[in-house]
Amino acid sequence: MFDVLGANLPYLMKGAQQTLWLAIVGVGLGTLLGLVLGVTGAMVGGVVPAIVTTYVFVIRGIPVLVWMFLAYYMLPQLGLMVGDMTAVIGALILYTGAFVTEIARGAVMAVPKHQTEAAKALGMRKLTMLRLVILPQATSLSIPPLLNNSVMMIKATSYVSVVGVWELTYAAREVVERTLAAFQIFLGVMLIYFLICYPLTLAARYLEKRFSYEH
Amino acid sequence: MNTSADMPMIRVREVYKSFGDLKVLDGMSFDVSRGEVLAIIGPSGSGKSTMLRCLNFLEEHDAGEIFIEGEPLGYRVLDDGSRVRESEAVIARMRCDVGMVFQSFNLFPHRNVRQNITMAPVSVKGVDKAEANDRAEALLEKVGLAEKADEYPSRLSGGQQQRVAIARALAMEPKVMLFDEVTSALDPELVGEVLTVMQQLAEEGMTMVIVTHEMQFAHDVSDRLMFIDRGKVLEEGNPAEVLNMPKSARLKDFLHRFSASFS
Repeated sequence: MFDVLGANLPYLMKGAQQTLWLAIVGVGLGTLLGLVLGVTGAMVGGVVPAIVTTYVFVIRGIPVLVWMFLAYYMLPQLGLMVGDMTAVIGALILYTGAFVTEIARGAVMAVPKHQTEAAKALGMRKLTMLRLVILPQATSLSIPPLLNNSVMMIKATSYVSVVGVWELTYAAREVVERTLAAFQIFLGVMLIYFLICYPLTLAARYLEKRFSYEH
Repeated sequence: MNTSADMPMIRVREVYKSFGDLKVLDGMSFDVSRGEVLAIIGPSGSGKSTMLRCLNFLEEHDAGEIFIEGEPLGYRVLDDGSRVRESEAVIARMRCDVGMVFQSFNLFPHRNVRQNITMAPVSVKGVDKAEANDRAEALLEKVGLAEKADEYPSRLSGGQQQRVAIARALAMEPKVMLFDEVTSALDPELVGEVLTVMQQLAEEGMTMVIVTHEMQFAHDVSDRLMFIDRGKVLEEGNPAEVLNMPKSARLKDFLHRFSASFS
């Protein structure tokens, strides 16, 4: 009964490779972008926090699917001839970035004011304080929500198929159309997605332990 | 021009501070000379903690001037009377000379005791790591916690945490130490160990400003006592005289609640 899955597995794995690539570039860079924006938004004064907040609200308020359509159809209209892959990766980065910005900002803000006062009283300047006092404490606070967000966004990479970018879900639909074995194929796809996300959970659990300080 | 020898360690002149409509400091002026221990007492909300926090610019005064060894803190007043805020670098440098111990200890929970003590000397003053470690050991010895160097703060009692906090502040080799109700968050049986360390510091000649509710301690250890009410200095002078012969009704009323005589 599962022969059909076995026969199509190499093809699906190729799709999985593409999904993994989208995840690493889109979600990875998006997370990096969000960490930088979030920490900057929390630490820098002036107009920066307002700009960061606007970015978060605009991006977060619209479904990622719509952003992918927008990126795919709108950028060429604006004269930016980008490939479909670039468009969807851009959308993934911006979308992931918005959520991570809020996670990072929240984690920095959650470090008690007492801690920054103690650092200031010891003569630390902002960057030293950030490096030695705020970030180490914010890191342990942000790992669980970051994992949550990464897993969510990895699954959201499946949306790129709507604008014709080929990846695991797209490949699965092709195979199903050819073989009509929807149950077996999607069961396989389910397992592959799980195998991509599960190591991340393990890594997060390790990091959480590594960065926790309630000894 | 004053030489630094006869210049007061801390000089506070006509300092005002409001939180919104609430006037917290209403024209405070006082000096603290080198080696002097000044105790500040007063009811809750009298402005004593705010005043103390102004002395290392954790709280920014709205008007008036504060000098540490003759150098203006936080703001520079120009000839035309306008104020210029000092750069972050200058403020940070001045804070190195003014150690502070907080009511809630505020140790860094992600670092062990030794790292708590060496962090600022190494990162701010560029002290060599090995040297900072040696100094941390010596300071821990001094506060009676030599065996706790590798523990994390969460494993220590309140009294032990507060003694580490004192060692951490001392590691910067400050010229002044500020104590903000440092025993208020402690269980009664742990208060003594912290006061002992403070008394020892006072005897060594450290310049100290102590905001406290420990009247007996203020009486025993301070050289001068100041009673603050509604952001003003109401009485000040020899601790025994101020405590035993209060002049103002406010201080009489305040001391009445402690219902003890100080000898």
